[in-house]
Amino acid sequence: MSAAKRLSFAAVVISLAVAIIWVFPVVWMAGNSFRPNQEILAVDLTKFTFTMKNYQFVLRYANYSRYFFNSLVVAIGTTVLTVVSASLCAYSLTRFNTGGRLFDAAILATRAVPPAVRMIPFFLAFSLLGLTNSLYGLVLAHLSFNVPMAIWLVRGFLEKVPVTLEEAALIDGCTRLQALRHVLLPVAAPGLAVVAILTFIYTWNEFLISLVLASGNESRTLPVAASMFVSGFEINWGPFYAAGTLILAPVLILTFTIQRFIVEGLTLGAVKG
Amino acid sequence: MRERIQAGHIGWQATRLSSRWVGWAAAAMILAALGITWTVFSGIGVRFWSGLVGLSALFALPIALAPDRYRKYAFILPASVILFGLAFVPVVFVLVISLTDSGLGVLRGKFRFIGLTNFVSLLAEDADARNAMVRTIAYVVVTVMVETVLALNLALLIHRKTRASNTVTTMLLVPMMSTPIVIALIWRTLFAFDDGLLNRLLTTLGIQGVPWLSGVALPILGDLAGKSSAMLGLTHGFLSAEIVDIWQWTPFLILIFLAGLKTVPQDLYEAGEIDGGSGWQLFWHITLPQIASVMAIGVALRVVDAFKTFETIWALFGNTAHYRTLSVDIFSRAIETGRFGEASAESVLLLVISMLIGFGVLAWSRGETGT
Repeated sequence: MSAAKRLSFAAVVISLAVAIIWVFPVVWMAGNSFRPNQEILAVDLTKFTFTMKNYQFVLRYANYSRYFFNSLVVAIGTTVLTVVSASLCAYSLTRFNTGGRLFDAAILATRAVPPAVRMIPFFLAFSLLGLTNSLYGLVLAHLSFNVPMAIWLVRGFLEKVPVTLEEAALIDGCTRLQALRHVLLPVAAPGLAVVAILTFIYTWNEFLISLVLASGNESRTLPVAASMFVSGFEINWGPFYAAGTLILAPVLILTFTIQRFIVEGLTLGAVKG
Repeated sequence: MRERIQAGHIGWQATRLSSRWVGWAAAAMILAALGITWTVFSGIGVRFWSGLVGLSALFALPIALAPDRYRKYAFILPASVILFGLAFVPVVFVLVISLTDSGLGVLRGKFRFIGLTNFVSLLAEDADARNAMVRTIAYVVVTVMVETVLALNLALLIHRKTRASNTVTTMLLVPMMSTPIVIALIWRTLFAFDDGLLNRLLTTLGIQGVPWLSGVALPILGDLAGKSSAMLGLTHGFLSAEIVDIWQWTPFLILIFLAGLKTVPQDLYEAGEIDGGSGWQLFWHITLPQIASVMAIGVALRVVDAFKTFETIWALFGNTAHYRTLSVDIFSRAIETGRFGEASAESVLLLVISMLIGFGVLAWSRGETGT
């Protein structure tokens, strides 16, 4: 083997090892979720007894179907409202430069505000308005995290679509509406889909605000429910692994379907700036 | 750019938005708002109707009713209302509360303005707050530094375009997209002293188990720090939390750095090679300056996000005083014990520190690279 070949072989080996380190905990959880508790605690890698007991427990006794439904409602509600408001806003920002630099700065600054800072005003205001332990309140709270990010992303996607494309359509006698629908929308659609999926995932994953605003049994979302498998110093391992697998499954499926776009979306701001 | 905007503007005025499109848009938005509100309230009284009317009006009416010239403002209205009401107002609200002695009675209107007393007592007297602050900064410095070095090396490796690169990039998305609390809890099971996988592996290899989640001070550094080892985060437990953070967020920086590496023009390297530069010299004089600005933005984003850390600490240690970062301390002060005034002051401090350091990193790198 030549030196160069040996080097690239080493690169392959190291990067594969790295990839394994990064997926291992998730695979470990998914695999263990199908094993009985004693076997998980024995950390015996030589045998594997298949069982669905953990899932039965989680779905039947731990009320997970309810939490799943709650998470879904909050995530879909937030996603719809975020994508509609953010794409309208981003359209206006890119094509007419509405709002100017001040608006840009406001969006960026909002992204940097930690959730812990918004926790107290949300908690107090929502308590006064009777919005705690309500999914409606959770949607409102999540809007504040996702709308700035979504505007930023949609803007990035729209800026890549040349204005000349729309202008050509206008000159050809399209109305602005037709230009929007037949020229801009098809080009921007993948971008909007990516933003929608990212918003969905972020909302699905969010923990702190959901814990503060809606930890009651009726309005609990999945991440909050998962954290409750820990009581004191004990974790009920088997059921936790099953619940964790149920929570991660939709996220990972969505992630893998649009993985190429996610990378693009995440790195958009950084490379352009 | 200027021309473009004006051309767009003229186009906008010349062609009126057809009322049919506006009708469809309004209908779709009303439907969406209706669907959401319906699901959420499942049919009850005043709140249902006010929510419904409010949401539809917020989204649809301005767009449908505004005259053409002002429609571009109607487009940014919903997002602006959200940004203003749900992002700007809360921050102002926190500032105001931080100047009061708000406790549990605040919801019944019982509070007094006490100036900067909260800030003074947090910084001067409150050991919990001071420790949390120092610990948070230590956490940010350690994790972001390790992540940057690790990510830079791995990004250069993956950038070599081997056959494995694409698979690896996909795998990198797993930790950063997964639900943080679930990830942290998985790690808690891996770290468990008796039944955890890590200690099992170590004992199989004949090495003594490590007390991953304990407050035992770290071997050398912790001994040096003595009594302040818990404050500086030099305990086994806190290091484990940092390991989780590094595992979870190094991939994010790798992706950012990879995107930066893709933008470096290839002919720079060719020129460098002709001039007889070694691999190291090429890296130092071409790669690094070329990706410096991208790196700075990635690192600044990580700094700002690392200050937000809550789930990792919460999942590994719950509300234990020795491990609290600022976010956890704010949570425990406000939600667990109802000291809203103090907690608000603490969150103002968190906001100021994270913004200062985050933008500081950006500004410093801009100065260094001259961009």
